[in-house]
Amino acid sequence: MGYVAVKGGEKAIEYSQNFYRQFFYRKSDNNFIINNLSFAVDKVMSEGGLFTKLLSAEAIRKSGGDLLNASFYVRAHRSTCQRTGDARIVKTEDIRILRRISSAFKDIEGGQILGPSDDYAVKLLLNADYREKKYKNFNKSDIYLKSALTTLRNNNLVKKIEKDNQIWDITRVFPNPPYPRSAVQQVMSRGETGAMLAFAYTTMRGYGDVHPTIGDLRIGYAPVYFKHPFLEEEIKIGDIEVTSCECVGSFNKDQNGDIKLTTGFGFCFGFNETKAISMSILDLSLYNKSYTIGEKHIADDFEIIMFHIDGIESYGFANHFKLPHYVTFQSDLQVFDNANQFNKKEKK
Amino acid sequence: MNRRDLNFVFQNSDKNQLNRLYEKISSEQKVIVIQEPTSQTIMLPVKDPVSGGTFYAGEVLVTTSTVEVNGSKGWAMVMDDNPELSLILSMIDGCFASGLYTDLIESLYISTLTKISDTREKINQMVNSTKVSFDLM
Repeated sequence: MGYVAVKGGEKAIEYSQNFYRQFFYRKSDNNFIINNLSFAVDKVMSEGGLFTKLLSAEAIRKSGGDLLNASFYVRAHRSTCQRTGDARIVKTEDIRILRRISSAFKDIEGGQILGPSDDYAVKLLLNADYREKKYKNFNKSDIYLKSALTTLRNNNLVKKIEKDNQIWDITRVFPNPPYPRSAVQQVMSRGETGAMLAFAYTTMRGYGDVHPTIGDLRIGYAPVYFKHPFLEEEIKIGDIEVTSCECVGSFNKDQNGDIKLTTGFGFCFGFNETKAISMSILDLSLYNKSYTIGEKHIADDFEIIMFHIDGIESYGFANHFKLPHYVTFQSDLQVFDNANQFNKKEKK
Repeated sequence: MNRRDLNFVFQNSDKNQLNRLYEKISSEQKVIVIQEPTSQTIMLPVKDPVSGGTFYAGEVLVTTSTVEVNGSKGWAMVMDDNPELSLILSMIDGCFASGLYTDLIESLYISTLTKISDTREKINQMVNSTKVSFDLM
C-alpha cells in the first residue's frame, strides 16, 4: 500500500489559520492567565516538560484554552532552546512548604498543614461570601519538613527499590526494556494528568487491588541552583512551584524473608496533586506487581505506562488522523473492493 | 550583600528602579555584550526517596547573558523568557565585580530584600494559619 502525500492548499490553510486566530485567539494579558488560571498554567508546564509560566500562559492563549495543544506549543518550544546543564538536585525536604498533609499519620512532625485548598469546600457554584481573615498573629517563619515517611525509612521498614547507576534522559534517547527507573519516572513526571489518573484509577477499580495511603503530599517552592561561571559556585536562579507525593501500599514478605512496606513516589512541576498522587500510585503498581492480587493488569505493565501517558504523543497521534489521508484510504478502499469481489466469486 | 545573591534578589526588584540603574550604567560605562540574552534550559534532577536515585522532572526555562563592564565580566541567569531582565542583571553583576555603583546596587538590594521578606512572611502566616490537628471522634 503506497502512501503519497498531498500538496497544495496553501491559500485555504492560510485563511483557516487566520480565521482560527480571529475566532479563538483573544487579546488578553498573559499575567491575568498566570494569576487566575494557575492550575492550567501548571498543567501545561508539567506536561510540556518545561517550567515557564510566561510561555505557558501564551500557549494557553494561543490555543484558546486547549491545554493539550498548549502543552504541545511548550514542548515544541523546549526543543528549540539550548540546554546548558543540570540544576542542583531537588529533595523533598528542600521544598518550602505551602501545604503538606499525610493521611497515613494523624500526628506528624511539623503537623498537618492544609495550605490553600478547596478539598473541604462544598462543590456548588454559589457565590460564597468569604470573610476576610486576619493572619497577623500567626508565625512568619518558613516551613521545611522531612517526609512523614522518614521515620519508617530510618527504621528500615520500607522496601527499597534498586536505583539507577546513571540518570537517564528520555529526551535524548528513549530506552529499551527493561526500562531504567529514572526513565520511567521522567516519563511519568511529564505525563498527561488525565491519562495517568485513568490508569491509576484502574488499580482501585476492576484491574487491581491497590488502595494506597497518602504518606506525604506537599506543594511548595523548590529552589533552582546553577553554577555561576565566574564565581565558580552555585547561585540561586529562582524558586519553582512543585508537587510531591509519597504513597504507601501494602506489605509483603521479601525474598530474604523481611517484611517491608511498599511505597511509590510522584513529583511534577506546578501545583497538581492529582498528577502527583496518580504518579505515586503508578510507581507503586509498576514496581510491586506481586503485592497485588493477580498480575499483568494495566497499571503494572511498563509498556502500557511508558507508551500511553504522554499527552503530546497521544494527542498528536489521535489528531494526525484528521489530516489528509486520501491516498491511504483509497488504498484501503481498493483492498476492500478486491476482498468483496473475491468473496462474491467464492459464494458462486 | 554578596555577589552570589544578586541574581536571585534583583529578579524581584521594581522594574522602574532596575531600568533607571540600567540607563545609568549603559550611559556612563562601556558595556560589551559578550553573550546576548539567550533562552536556555536547565534539567531539574529530583531525588527519588523510594530508590535513593535521581530522575529528571523536566527542564526549567532560563534566559542567560554575559557582559563586560569596566573590564569585569558579569553574568545573569534569570527565570523564564526575560531577555531585558537578564541583560540588566548581568550588567549589575559586572558592575559589582568591578566595584562600580556599589552604593546604588546595595540600596536597591536592601529594599528588594525587604520586599521579598515581607511577601514571604505574609504567605507563611497564611500557611501557618491552616495547621490543623483533627480531633478523634
